[in-house]
Amino acid sequence: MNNLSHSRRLRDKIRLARGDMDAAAKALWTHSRLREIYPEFLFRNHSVIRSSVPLMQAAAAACEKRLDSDPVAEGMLAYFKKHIPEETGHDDWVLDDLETLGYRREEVLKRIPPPSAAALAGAQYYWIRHVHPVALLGFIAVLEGTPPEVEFFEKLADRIGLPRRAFSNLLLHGRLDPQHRDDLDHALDALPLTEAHHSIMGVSAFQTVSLLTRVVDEAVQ
Amino acid sequence: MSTNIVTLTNAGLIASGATFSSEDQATIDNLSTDEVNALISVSQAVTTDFLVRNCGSSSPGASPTTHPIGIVF
Repeated sequence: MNNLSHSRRLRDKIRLARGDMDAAAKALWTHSRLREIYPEFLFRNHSVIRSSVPLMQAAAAACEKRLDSDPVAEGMLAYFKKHIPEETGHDDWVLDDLETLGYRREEVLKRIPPPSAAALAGAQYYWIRHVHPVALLGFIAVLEGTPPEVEFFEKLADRIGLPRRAFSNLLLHGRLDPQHRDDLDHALDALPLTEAHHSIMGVSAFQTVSLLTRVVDEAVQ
Repeated sequence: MSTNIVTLTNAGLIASGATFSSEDQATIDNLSTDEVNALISVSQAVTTDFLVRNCGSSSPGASPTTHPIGIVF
């Protein structure tokens, strides 16, 4: 029997599994050629973040179908209905940053996203459609679990000689995501989750950590 | 050692002889078989030491890094 809160259980699992992801982050942000790599990182970030709202819409639709038979569907649906408007348009922030660096939006959108990013988001469509939409909460817990630190990225922009407005996506998320992380924790703790739900979230979170690491590793290589 | 730690050690995901805080030990012990299998599956696909570095040096409340990954939701 586990007496920890639902959110704590999920956060503890992610913490244990995130060693390589943190190493990839450190390799990125301390890279000697970060100024050159940063636009590619932004492209990869856009490749992932463009799926945030569509994934939540897919999960919300799956919840709606389960409302009469699944005790967690109602609470999850309420979470997604609140969070979808909060995340809408954030992919444009990344395009704004790329535009600041001289990359035209239409050219960015013409590029084929890396398979690692497609796998990261695509796996969630699989879990939502074929297993259970609760999987997406494991994905979100990873992505919103470590909010960008505003001061860190402001200083980083200054250090590598790029305008801070080219970091608007990270700076804005740095201000928003602490609240979003807490909102997810509160939503998780209010859900009547079973051991099976925990297991699905854990599997999804582990896969997310792994693929997210690959997305960033590829940008550095 | 718990079954999960033995399984993950045998899979090369936990360094042999690694020690854990009681908190981390409990987290690992309480992983489901599906979660343990997922860790093994993604590590085979992506990296060879998925848990080694972090679990091998785990300490209670430790923050692994000050660098967020930067890919946001």
